[in-house]
Amino acid sequence: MTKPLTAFALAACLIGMVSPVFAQDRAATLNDMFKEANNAFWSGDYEKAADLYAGIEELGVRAPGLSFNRATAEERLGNLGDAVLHYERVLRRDPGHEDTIYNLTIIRDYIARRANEDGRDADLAPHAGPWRAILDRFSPRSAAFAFLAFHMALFVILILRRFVRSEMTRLTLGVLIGVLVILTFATGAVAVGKYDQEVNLHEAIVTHGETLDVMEGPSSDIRRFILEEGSRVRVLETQDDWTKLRDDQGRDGWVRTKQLGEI
Amino acid sequence: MRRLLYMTVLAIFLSTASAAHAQKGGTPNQPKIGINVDRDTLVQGEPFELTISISTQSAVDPVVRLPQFGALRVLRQSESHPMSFSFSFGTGQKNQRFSKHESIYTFLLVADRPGKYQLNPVIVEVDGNRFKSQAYTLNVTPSGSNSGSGQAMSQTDPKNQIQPAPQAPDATVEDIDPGAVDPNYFLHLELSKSEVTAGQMVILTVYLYTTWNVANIRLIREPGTEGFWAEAIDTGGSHRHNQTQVTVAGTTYDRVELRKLALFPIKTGEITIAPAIAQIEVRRGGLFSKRKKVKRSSQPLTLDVLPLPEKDRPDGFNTANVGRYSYRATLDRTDARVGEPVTLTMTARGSGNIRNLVLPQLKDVSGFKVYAPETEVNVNARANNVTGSRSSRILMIPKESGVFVIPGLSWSYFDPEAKEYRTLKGSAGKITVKPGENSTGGSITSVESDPGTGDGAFDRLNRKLRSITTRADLHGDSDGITLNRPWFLFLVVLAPFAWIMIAVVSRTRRKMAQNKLKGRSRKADAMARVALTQLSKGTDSMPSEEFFAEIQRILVDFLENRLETAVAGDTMSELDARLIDRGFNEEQAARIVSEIEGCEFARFARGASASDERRKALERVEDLVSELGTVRVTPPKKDDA
Repeated sequence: MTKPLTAFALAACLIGMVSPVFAQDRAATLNDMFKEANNAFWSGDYEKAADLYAGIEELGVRAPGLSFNRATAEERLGNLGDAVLHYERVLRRDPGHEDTIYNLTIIRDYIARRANEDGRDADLAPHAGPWRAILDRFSPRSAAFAFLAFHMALFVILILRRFVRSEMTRLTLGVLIGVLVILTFATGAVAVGKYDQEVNLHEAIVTHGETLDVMEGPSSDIRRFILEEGSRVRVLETQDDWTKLRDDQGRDGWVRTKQLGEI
Repeated sequence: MRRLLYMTVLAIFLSTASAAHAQKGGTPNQPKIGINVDRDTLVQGEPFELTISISTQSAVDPVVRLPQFGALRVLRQSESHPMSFSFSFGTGQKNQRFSKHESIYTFLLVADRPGKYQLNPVIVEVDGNRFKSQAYTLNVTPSGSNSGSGQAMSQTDPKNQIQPAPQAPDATVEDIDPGAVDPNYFLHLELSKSEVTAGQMVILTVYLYTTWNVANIRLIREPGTEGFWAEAIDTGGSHRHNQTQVTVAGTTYDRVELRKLALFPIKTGEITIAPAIAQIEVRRGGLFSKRKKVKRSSQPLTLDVLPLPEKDRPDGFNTANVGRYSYRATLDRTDARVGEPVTLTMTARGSGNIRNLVLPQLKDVSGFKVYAPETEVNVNARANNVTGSRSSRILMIPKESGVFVIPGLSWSYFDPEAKEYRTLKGSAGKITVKPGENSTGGSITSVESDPGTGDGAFDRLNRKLRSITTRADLHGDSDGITLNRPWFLFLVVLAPFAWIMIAVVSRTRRKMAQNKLKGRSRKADAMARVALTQLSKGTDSMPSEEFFAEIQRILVDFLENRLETAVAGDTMSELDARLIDRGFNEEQAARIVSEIEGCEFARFARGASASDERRKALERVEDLVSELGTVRVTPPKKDDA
């Protein structure tokens, strides 16, 4: 073995031995930060708790439980728009997160009631078509895994069928293949839909104040309509620090980008 | 014994046939037509059941024409055929058919006006003959009158004789007109008062009176409550009915309470309560006696509703506040800081139309932001009374410091028993607001900016929400799009790739096996031709037995090369079967077998050794080899090899 090759092998071994140690350290650090944030929350220091949760997220951690806690801390601070934003982020990764669905419903009811008391007509429950409703039931990961499982099973059965001689077994496998083809196409459509949603659909939550004036154009003084805090909107385009959005009723308008939080 | 059996069967057949024959040849059987009404007395507005039964015996199905009911309203009709059978005997033109039919037509009718209703006869056509029933007249008495021509309620129906001996009745009911109701079972509405003030509670009870055993009761139409607020009074479960014995005009009835409602009139004048209708399943006799379903309608009722008195009526009085109540209005604190929520609770408690009560409303209170009230209603409808409470909780946020008086906390209601208005005052009304902790006096602190304190809506929101979780998978990779990950794409492609590869490999293998067979075939063909050519050169010089032995060998070698199987040891029948099994047709197989047998024979028969005969044999074999070379031989079976 030549000298450079030996050196390279030794370096690889060293990195292989050291990297788990670093990973363990990082895990311990994240856990400690999370515990500290939780303790801050329980002691009533919601601001510190929210900052700590945000700090963990800035380290690249994307966990539904972390976003849920951050949303709850923001809610305690009265930042209902931010709370809705982080709860929505939880649902993006884990659409069946029961606590999030529950809290989100209550907060939206509260915001709508507050708006009604102030004489505004508000309905914050997101309105989605049937295809969107189906997509919202799956996370990108679960849709992809479901597709992969059915896809693999389909081809395994196709391969098996080549080696089976019994007519009865071949018939049974044929039926199974038919079912798997349908399931593969269905889950494939959902997986592609989720992928498209992740890549092309940009949605945001109104996080600024109780209400947000949506303007006719960038830097315009003409108000087109009002959005309640916590409303979900679709981001159409961005110009400088202005964002063009569309709400559930199909109305378009411009707001300052910092008044929104992208999900 | 067998003869006796034959005789019996013959006797039965003859008697049946003769009866049918007699019927066909003799006068037609007159159908039996029956018309029945399920009660003796028909009352205006009360549904009754009319049954027409027709029984015929004929060779063909009868044609029935039912009467029109004219001014009688048909609520429901049904048709049943409890007995209908037919059989034929004889053959050809002598075939005769015998049928028996029974049809029952049931109509649920109601007469909107009293008077006599004439029903046309029922017409039945049987075997070309027409039969008519008698015309039928229905006498309908006015509702609530005693002019009916039916039996009076006091009459003793013989059917009732089989009822168990009655116990001593609980009460005597005098306000029922016995002539207007069915003596066996009838519905009756009863009001606790005949005259009330608007909003005053009156109890309406629906009773079933019956002298029969009741197996099941179902109220299919509730009494009409148009013009009332209605509150159902709990009578102890839907499957239990209060039952007492009462006497009506000397007859003892079981009185079953079907429904009890508290009614609160919302308009004045004469209000009519539309009749209730019940479906009753009754039976005469014991547990196993036949059941009968009947429908009964109650009489309508009217109630006089007086308007609330104008005298002493408080300003802004709400007419929904009628009954007997206590009232209190309290503040949860009388001292507060700016921004600290204060809750005002107003509660009215008592007897009356609790659900409809209107408590004082606070819209604008100077110095406060007032939120919409939260209302809580508790109603207890039992024992001929509706009691409970209605509370209204209003959240108020002080916007500035000072001493404030909450206005309009007094509340008025009308007491229908005492026939006077009463005005009650709440105990709270004054609140002192101090400046907020972090603000100067008079500044406004919104509830949202300090959500952690106070007893406001935001605190309630916080209490409702689920709290943080202690577990989170901080190390899992839950972000990113799986669909575009290399390993995912690799797995997606891997499965069909593996399938395609396996398909290609198996196809190639099959093709190779076929090519191998073809190669063998060509080789066998060439070898046989070479051998035959060499043999043809020495045809005449070779001894006869050697010549035919050589031809036989060439043929067998050719077959063994083609079939890849040893055939030398086969008998002729085994060879024949093998050849057919491996793809040769029967004619080819027979020719091969015949040629081998011919060679075998010629080897030992000297007469067959002429040169002409040898040439012919050689030609035949050459032709055979050429033909067999084109045959597609199937692969050998495993047990064959």
